[in-house]
Amino acid sequence: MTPTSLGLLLLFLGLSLPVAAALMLLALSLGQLFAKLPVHLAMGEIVWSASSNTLLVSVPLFILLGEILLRSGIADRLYNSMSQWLAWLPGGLMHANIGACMVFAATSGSSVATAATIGTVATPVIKKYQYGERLFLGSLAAGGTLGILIPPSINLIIYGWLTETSVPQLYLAGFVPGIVLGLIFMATIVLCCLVRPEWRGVAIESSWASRVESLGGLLPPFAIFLIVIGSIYAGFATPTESAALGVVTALGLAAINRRLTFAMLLQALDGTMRTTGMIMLIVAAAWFLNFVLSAIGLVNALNSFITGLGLSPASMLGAIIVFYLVLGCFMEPLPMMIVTVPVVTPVIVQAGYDPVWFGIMIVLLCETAMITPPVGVNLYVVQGVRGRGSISDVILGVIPFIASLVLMILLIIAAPGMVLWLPRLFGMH
Amino acid sequence: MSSAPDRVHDAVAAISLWMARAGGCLLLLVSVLISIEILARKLFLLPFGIGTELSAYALAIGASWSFAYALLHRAHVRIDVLRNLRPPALQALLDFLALLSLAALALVLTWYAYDTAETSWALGARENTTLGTPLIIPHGLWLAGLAWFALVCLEQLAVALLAFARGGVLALIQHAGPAAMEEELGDVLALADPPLAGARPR
Repeated sequence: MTPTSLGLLLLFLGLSLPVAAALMLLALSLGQLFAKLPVHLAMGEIVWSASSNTLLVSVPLFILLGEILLRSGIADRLYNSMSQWLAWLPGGLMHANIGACMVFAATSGSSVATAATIGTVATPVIKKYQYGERLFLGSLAAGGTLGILIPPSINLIIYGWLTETSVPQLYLAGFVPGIVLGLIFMATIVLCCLVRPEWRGVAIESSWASRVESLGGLLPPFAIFLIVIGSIYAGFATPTESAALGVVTALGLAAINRRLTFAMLLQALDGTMRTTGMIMLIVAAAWFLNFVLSAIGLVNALNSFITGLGLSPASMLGAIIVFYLVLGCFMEPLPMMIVTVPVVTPVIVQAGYDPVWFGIMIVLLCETAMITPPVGVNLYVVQGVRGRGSISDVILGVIPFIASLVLMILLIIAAPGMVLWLPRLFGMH
Repeated sequence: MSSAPDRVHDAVAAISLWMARAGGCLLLLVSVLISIEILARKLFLLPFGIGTELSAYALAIGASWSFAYALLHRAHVRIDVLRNLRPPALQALLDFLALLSLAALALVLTWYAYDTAETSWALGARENTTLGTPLIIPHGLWLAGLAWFALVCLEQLAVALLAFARGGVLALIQHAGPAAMEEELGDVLALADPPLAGARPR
């Protein structure tokens, strides 16, 4: 059963069928081949229950939040503030790129929104300060990926839904790794600039007075963060309700910055619904596939198959990480997660790993997937906002940061406490 | 050239766009409703909780109403690395198959959604909540989105075949091939967030 299922999945995806259609075809074929009961009769109810899941409502809301923030005019002052505080480091504004991405990530659940927003304000200064252009672009593509690690996070919500793990716990678990990864990115920039001083760019002077003055630029993102994340832990709101509060707050900020127009709102809605349609069609098909998989007992079969291989937990984790790193080169992170997580997570939990910890691992692998060519969405976002030259500049520039992400993956294996410390501190884990 | 198919397609695109926007508006509205609810709950201790239930319907309806729009923008992702290595004739075949499989998915979903909606109509089923929503309303609107998606899939198949008849393999690829990443992100990139004057470091 396991080889047939895997073979069919690879066949359908290899034929480049749309992911949602491939999953549904797989579900119907497996139901036909292995199920004792006509599983397809339950399809309407199952697809409806996934399509009207209250936790999943937060996914389009966070996409919408990102689309509004992107156009709300808060990024400029945020970037200015970060450059006042961080640009004295070797590598100058590249550190502001990372810092601004970290702050923006705390308001946005999407990495595309993060890379696009910060990329738009940052790319015009590359030539002016004579930075090594490739590394600068790489820092934007990589910094943008922090959007899904630092809460809120669309990917953590989807993981929580797929594995029935608490989203508030997952959010807490993402904080420390998010900050550590940001610092590792900055260290990577310093290191690169020490090796190749010509990438450093012109130093930027600042004074304490202007630094303090610039802090005002952090207020809008801080307000959104406080409302979206704070409302969950203050017991005000569920993760879905907090996303709704975030959307309304972002609309308010856009209005204050005089960016809220009918045309802007329509643009934001169009972008949101395109992504929502794509994700929810996959969700619908995947949920039905999961139903079929459990009806035919595939997850158990796979579990005993893997146990039968006699792998140690560590080597199994290693194999899974390599699998995701390779898959991430060819697949966008969200579809990749929806297809694989329901099958992989039970296996890894059975082997003794913590599901919250593994959620953060999956997000780190998704981040890597976003910047590994040929299919790396953030590479294209950064190339797009730059609007000239070749995509290969971004691809070359991001290589040191891929190494940083792999280092981070090893780091949370060596020190899982980094992930679980905060959830435990809040007494949630 | 005959412009009848073009006119049909323009109408299909416009309807799909505005259905997606209507779905987006639903999500926007439930955001506002939920926010008001939370304020009422916290500030005036007025507990009322219809936002969560309505937001679930908004998700199901908004998503199904945007499937066709996503299709027209070729947003339903495919893993096209292997496809891109093939000669054009095979690429065209794969693109056609992709469209065909999506049409099959849409028809299957519509069929079983009809089943579900029909059952809740026949039973007069209501959601077990304070609102007691007659389920036929959300089910019916959800079904409408799926049915439109199936129709647009069939229309796209027809257009692809027409393109093939007129311009051969390359015309079919141009019509049904996957969107280039740049194209897919077109809107994110046309965001036009012009910098505020003087906000940049000097």
